Amino acid sequence: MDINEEKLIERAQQKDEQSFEKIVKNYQDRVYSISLTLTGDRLEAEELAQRAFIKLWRKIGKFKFRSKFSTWLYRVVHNIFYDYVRSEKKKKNIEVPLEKIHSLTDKEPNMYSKLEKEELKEIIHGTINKIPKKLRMVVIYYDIEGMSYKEISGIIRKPMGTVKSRLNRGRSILREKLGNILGAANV
Amino acid sequence: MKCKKIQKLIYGIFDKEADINEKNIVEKHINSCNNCREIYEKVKNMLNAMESIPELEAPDGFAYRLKRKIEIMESKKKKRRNFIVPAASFAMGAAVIIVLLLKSSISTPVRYISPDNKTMLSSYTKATMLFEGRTSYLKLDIRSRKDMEDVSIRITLPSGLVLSNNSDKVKWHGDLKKGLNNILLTVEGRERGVWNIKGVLKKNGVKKVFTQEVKVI
Repeated sequence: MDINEEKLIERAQQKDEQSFEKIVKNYQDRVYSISLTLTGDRLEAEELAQRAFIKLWRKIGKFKFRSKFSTWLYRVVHNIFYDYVRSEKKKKNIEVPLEKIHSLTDKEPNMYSKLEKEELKEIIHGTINKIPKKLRMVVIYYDIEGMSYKEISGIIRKPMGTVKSRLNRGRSILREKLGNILGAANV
Repeated sequence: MKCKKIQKLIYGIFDKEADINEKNIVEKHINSCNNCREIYEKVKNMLNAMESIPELEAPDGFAYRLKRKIEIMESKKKKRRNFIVPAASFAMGAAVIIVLLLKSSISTPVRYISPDNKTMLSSYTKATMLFEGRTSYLKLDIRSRKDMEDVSIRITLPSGLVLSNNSDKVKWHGDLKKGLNNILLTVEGRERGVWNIKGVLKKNGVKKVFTQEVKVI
């Protein structure tokens, strides 16, 4: 662990707000990014990410420096995310809703070639919320956030085999939902 | 190899988990199977796209707004703590006084406090609730309209309570003063429940019965 980060954590554990603020700045983009993928709404994403950091502020004293801080941090905030996913109150799709995918798939095949990589990314981002909740978190952590099996296993407290099978099931569902767009995309 | 098994291996290739042998099997298969080749391409496109989804920046002022929320939360916590601490010290004070009194007068199960004796004791021992198995003070209120000399009071405890001298009856004899007189009993809660203490006040052959409810928890 980075010595500076270690010091920041130690100070934050003593309820030093400035140190905690620095930790927040180091992780806020990643936590916000996951929140936005989950909620599909910027305001709601901020609210969710802030709830996650408030939980971190309450729990940081329990970090024992035995594991990687980032893994521990995501484990703490994972429950906030998972509770949100479990509540399933709003199945929003971010910027590109599914309707857009349907309208694209309704068109002639040669139209798909015009689909830009950026647009595909947006569509994927918006379609992830259609994956079952248990699988969704793993897909987001692995394929979008680039975490390792080991990290995810530590965060969701499941064996690596479970992480792998959830990932591949989630990916297959996503692939099916995206349908022909994937084959035609110019990526 | 069947298509289903090939499709399982496809993810392994992109996750760099498949060995050379598995790669060769997949490559050979997709050259001859249109369906699996299509799936291979789709998985490749999907994973490439997901991998390159940029990390989104948290909105401006995110950390500041969070800081404000934490400050508000902490100040509320502080207020709660400030409320609890005096209450706790009050309870501690009461406990200390009761314990000291118990030590000094455990063998005296009854004690009289006159209305002009405004000691801390009278304000701390208003309990009408006792704990099972614990000895505490119990205050009986006797309001008198005038000064009265030579009054006797006989108190009988119900089976849920016992006096500190292991008796269930106690007598007090003395003068009552105008106002609120108190009789302090040193009692132990014996059994949980709501109990009635019965008292009989006698003056010049005239009797007056009074009761007081006590809860043992």
